[in-house]
Amino acid sequence: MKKTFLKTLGALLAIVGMVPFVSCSENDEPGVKSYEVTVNLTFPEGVDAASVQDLKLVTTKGTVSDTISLNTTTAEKITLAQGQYTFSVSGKIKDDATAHVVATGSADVYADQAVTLALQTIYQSPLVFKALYTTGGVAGYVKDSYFEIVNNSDDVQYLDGLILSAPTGNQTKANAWQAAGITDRYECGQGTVVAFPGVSGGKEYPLQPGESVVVANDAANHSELANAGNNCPDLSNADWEIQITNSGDPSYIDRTLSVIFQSNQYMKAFGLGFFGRAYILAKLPDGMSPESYAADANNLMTTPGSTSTMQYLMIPSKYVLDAVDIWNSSNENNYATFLPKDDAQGVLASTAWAGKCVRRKVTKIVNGRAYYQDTNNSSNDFLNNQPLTPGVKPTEVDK
Amino acid sequence: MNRYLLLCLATALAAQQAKAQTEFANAANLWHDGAVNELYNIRYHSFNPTRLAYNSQQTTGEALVSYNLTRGDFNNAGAPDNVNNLNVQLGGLKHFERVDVSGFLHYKNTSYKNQEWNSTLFLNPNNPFVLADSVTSDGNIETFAMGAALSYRFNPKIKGGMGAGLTVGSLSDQTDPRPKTNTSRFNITVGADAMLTTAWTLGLAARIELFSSNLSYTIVNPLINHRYFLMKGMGDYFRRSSGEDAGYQRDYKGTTFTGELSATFKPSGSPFQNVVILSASAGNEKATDGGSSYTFKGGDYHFTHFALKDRFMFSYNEHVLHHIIVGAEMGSGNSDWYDQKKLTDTEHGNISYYEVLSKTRIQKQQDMVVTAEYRFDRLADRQPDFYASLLATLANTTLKHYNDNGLQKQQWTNLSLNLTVGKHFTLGKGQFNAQLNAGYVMPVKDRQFATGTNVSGSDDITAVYVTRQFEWASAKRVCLGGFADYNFPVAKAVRLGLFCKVNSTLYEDDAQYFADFKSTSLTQGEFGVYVNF
Repeated sequence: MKKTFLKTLGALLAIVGMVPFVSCSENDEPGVKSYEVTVNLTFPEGVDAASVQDLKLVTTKGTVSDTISLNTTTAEKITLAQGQYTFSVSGKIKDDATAHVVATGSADVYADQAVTLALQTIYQSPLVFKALYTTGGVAGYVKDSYFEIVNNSDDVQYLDGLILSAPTGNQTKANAWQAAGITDRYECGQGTVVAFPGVSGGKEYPLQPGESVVVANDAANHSELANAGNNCPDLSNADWEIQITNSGDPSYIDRTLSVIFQSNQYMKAFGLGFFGRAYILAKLPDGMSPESYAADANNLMTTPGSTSTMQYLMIPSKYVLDAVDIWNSSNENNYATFLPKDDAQGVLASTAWAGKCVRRKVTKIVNGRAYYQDTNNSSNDFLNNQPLTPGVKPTEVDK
Repeated sequence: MNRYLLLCLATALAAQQAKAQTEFANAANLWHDGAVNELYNIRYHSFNPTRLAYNSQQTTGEALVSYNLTRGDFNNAGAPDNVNNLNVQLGGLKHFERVDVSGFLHYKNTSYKNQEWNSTLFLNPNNPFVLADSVTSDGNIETFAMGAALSYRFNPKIKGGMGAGLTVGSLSDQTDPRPKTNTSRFNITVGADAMLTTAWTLGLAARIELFSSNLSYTIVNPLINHRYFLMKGMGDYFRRSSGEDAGYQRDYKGTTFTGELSATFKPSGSPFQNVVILSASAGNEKATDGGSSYTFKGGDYHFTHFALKDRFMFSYNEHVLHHIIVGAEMGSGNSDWYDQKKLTDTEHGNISYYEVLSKTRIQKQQDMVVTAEYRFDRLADRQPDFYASLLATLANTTLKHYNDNGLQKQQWTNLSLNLTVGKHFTLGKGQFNAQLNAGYVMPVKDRQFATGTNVSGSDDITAVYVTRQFEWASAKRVCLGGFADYNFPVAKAVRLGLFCKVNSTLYEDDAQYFADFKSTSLTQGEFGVYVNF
């Protein structure tokens, strides 16, 4: 019995003695380690580091992101806490309104290492048309059109000196300029070309991310001004108005876009397009005013292959922030007004005189802010025959 | 509930809150088979099964049905606002010639309201790897516990014993996301003691406990995206959503080894006796997610606990009994997180799996507790007639969390004083017993706060979770309570009893970290009926 007890006692002592060793056998070194990551950038053909501005690197680990401004060099050393990261680099090509360089990559940072990110050129506009209403609310009434412009970026944008223009569009074949091989400059001025006040690059008229402005031809309640039974909108709360003073256009509000170019003073409204047209939002290089651009004879052109003396204001593709081709829905075939990088394919016009607009699709809503689809293809990005909701923030995503 | 589990959880909670009222937790529970034994059996607080041989009351039985309620807002973030429990308990002690046995069965049915931030059941309270959601919900927990222990006297000098305990529980709620948690804890204990001299007895015991828990979330309405919080400690978490995993599954496995060495000094004829109990335990709880679909490590928690306790009792006559208990405890917990990457095996049916990239010790917790208690009993027929005790506890907790922002450290040190007085009265054929207790918990140095959350916006749970946990654990508070019990004989050696008790904790701090605690309290009430036989 005593032997049994001593054996049992010995076993128990061994178990008790093991406890401290079990408890201390684990690695006791705490802490999250940091490592040096060298980010190497390769630029696309035709683009060098000097032609890019605002180059930023965003490192994301889980839901936490950190933004680092990069010098326009090809390599940058950063220190990161251990983890699984995605990297996103973006920058703006200086002499093009919508051209950016972007690159993405990922790395598991558990040792010092190098990450190579190959930049590519993309065309994306921070400011885009949210809705265009040009098809009228009742036959014979032409002053109720409006254009809603939204800041679709995450940074504050400025409206100073932005140009709003309406090329003829509505094509079934190449226009005279396209036929003459001029595809990267767009003829503007069938009627008027208008612009926000100020100089491109100015900061007097900010537009916050996700916010929009309504530009009305006339900022009035058209449902009261037009004939009975109309489908016209109330635009008395519009943010801006287009003022064509020499055509007797009345002024309803103080904030007006001014005419910078006019080829037809009898056209009483901007951008009439009841069955379709093309529209441009353009931004000139910083420091340039729309008026001086329009006054420069080098930017004017007559119709190629024609004896007509009517001049057009030519706006190059690289200044275009957003272009929307609205095609006549009755046409059996349509021909694109713009280069594919600006708008590959048009959206069919809404029914004329029905008080309907074309509206850009909402892809997501985050904390009440809508984000809009912008693939530079209006047939994908826009919906036609939409109710008129000038200035109203959407609450639903378009499937 | 399994007595050992209660002790473990109580120890951890005591370290966090320093709110135990007295070391004599069972002596006031007159329905309990150990009520008198806790007072007279100096080895009572040992887990060595041979302690049964030293009980003064060696054969008794108990049956109890009680209902208790918890109400109030002074609670930790993972606790519900409103809890109701139905308890049914059956237990007893039996002495045979060489053998003493004990056993119990306990069933508890709990319903609760407004719970969030914790969907685990019977997890070590210091384990940071909690799986949670942030949707307040009502639910139900059923707990069944059973245990038995045996002490065998080999000869007058040597005793051996063994015991086993099992606790199983099931938690569920019916609000998306719906957790269903099944947990079991099973332990086996062996022990022996030997009388070395007429005064000295040496005891040794060892225990192994196995812990297993399965937590499974399901979603009924898939149109609403819910977040699953894979907590990592101090508000740091890894996020999953029902969008990527409609249901989410986690298994916990754990093992705890505990050893105990005790030395009892009880000279014959002396009014003094003393026991020193040294215990050490080490264990782990490891979380593995994904069920049968994949394996994702949810974190490994390792812990150790050392305790030294000395109980000194003396009695110069049969009317008075004195106790002095002093103790020191040190607990530490280390938490390891695995950085993992999801990969797809395209050669085997596009099965997804996770590759471990790194194992990092992200949290360390250190708890130190020093206690001292004096208890005085005036006796009548070896039963307490009047008693009073004063318990002082000094508890320090240091929590270090490591995240991308570096070291985050929380620390607090609290002193608590608890006074307990009780009186037994004869009332007709029966006996009326009353007890009052009052306690005060106060910080003895400035608290140090930090958050482990390193995300922003709505992802930052510092305000709703971290500050609440910290304030709850470290704040100044007043504890007040009392109970009344009346029992009377209904047959030979059978007594029927009725009891009710109330304990209230009143928040007394300035709500510096969590404003919603201002003027809050937490009150627990219980009433029941029991039979002693």
